[in-house]
Amino acid sequence: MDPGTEAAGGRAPRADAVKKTRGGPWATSLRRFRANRLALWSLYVIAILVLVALFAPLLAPHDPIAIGDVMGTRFQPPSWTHLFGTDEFGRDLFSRALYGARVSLSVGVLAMLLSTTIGTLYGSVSGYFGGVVDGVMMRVVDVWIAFPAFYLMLLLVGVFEASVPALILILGLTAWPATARFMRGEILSLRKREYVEAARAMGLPSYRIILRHLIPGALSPVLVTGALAVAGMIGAEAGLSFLGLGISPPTPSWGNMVAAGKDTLASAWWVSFFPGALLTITLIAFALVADGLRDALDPKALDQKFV
Amino acid sequence: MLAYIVRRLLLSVPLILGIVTATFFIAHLAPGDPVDLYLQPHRQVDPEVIERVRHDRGLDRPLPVQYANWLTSSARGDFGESFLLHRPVREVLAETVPYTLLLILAALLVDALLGISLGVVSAVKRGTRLDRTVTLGSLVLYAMPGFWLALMLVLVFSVRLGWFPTSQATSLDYASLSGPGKLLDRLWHMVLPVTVLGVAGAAATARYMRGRLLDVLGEEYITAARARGFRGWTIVRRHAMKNAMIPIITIYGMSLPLMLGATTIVETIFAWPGMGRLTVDAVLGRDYPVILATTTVAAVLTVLGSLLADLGYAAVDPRVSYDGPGN
Repeated sequence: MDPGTEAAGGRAPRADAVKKTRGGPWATSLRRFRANRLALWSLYVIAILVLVALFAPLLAPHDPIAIGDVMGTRFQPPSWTHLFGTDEFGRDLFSRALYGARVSLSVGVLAMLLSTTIGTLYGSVSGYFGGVVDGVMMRVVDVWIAFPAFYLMLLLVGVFEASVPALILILGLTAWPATARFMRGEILSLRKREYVEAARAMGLPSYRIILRHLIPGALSPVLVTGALAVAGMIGAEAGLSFLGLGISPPTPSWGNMVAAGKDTLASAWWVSFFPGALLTITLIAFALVADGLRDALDPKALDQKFV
Repeated sequence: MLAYIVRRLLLSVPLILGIVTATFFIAHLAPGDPVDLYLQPHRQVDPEVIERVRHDRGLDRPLPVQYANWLTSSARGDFGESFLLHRPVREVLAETVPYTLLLILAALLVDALLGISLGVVSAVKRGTRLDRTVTLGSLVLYAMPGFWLALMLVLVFSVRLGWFPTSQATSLDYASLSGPGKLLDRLWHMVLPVTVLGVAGAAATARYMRGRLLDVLGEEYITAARARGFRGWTIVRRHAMKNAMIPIITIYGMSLPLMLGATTIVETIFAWPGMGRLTVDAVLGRDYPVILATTTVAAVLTVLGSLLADLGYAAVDPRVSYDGPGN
């Protein structure tokens, strides 16, 4: 167990809390997370989605992109051959939705990792050094946060052609300042702790103190915001693709699939309905996992359950 | 208080300037220059014409000069001419911004009324089936993507039931309606877009309000009020609500940029003639003067929103000092 995590998890234990802390703070958190049924189910949903995304080519009953006899196969309602029906080109929507999970999850997770990494490092450096460095770095964050985020994304996808890697970069680079700001707050409260003073007194270099002692101590809130950020990123990608500014057809993304059905809502509701429903379930699952993590990791919320 | 307002206003200036500068340079990162993109469909254009267009728009000057020119003219409210609409951007903004503000203000009202009341009920009836339903329901609505909610509402309430119009801000025969008829027609067109915008905000507000009220209800002065014989709703109404409401103001200030983002999608779906749809069209058509202008307006609105929230906070919370750094 890292000294940093130990210090953060074990701070100010209440008398009744001490009894329950068996096997260290992470084990307690794991136990509490497992007791939260909604969060656990949500985690299973996410696991299934990840499997679906990985094995989409094996699971998809039809080709997601190839167009066959359009007039004979287009706009078929959901049936056993086409679980989600077919679209205006006669493509199987169930197969397209499975492939769409690849885009959503890869963009969501990778963009989250990018923004969390940048935000965590930036916030830690700013909080650790303080003074002028902190002042300048935080003014940059202020401007970035004041920027209406979706407008910034629109501007960026307008300037650069959107593709999966470009979207990951754009979303990741847009979202990091929020993480940076709260990470700085965490670091400010940690850096005056004795164990950090001790590390400094031992002559450890700053980068080592930040990476080995400060960031691990502030990791649990990063997990919570990370889970929420995945939902935010997936939603943003879907929104941009819906507007025709993200992933462009024929590559299936849940966002552009919903858009493809918006003009035929009256005659073929299933085209928009199913990809949007999958998207909604995914976003809810990540939000519930984030909720579960928050409750499980918060040392103060011993017996509270959220939902 | 006045000094505080002035100081906060002055602090907003560098923020807006920073956003506007970033916007300008990001827009000019685009490969190729706007004139090429602008004339792209008609590649056979005489090179002389291209040069003239470039010169007329000042695009043949160095970037810093263009930046300075753009900054000084936009500070006067002159945002140039739209590439797509061939009209002054200022005129286009004057037509579209009020529509967006109307949507946002109505949505904030729905957000407040629905969100606060659901949050209070949920907190007071903590642990009951009602509380669980409200809490889970608000999480679902909060997570649901707005564009899908919008299409599903259109499917049910416009296509199937025919209760509300699918698009536009007014009916075709709007001009021939009487005064009250006009008002009703406008409200009728607002129901679905405002619901989509307001419901997500209300869900967030309800979650937050519930948490805050539970915190406040655990405080000692509430126990004291209970000991003095006050009970149930009286305590909530007379003692707890005020303190629980204070942080909601900050949440409101922060919700404005989210709302502005959501309006781009909602306006596009409902063909609402506002700034959001204008921006999406401008991005699709690479109409840089419009993109720069709407981003600037959105930034100013966002900064003003957080400024108003801070002022509101300072006005209701006696613990906030006007003399300290505006934090």
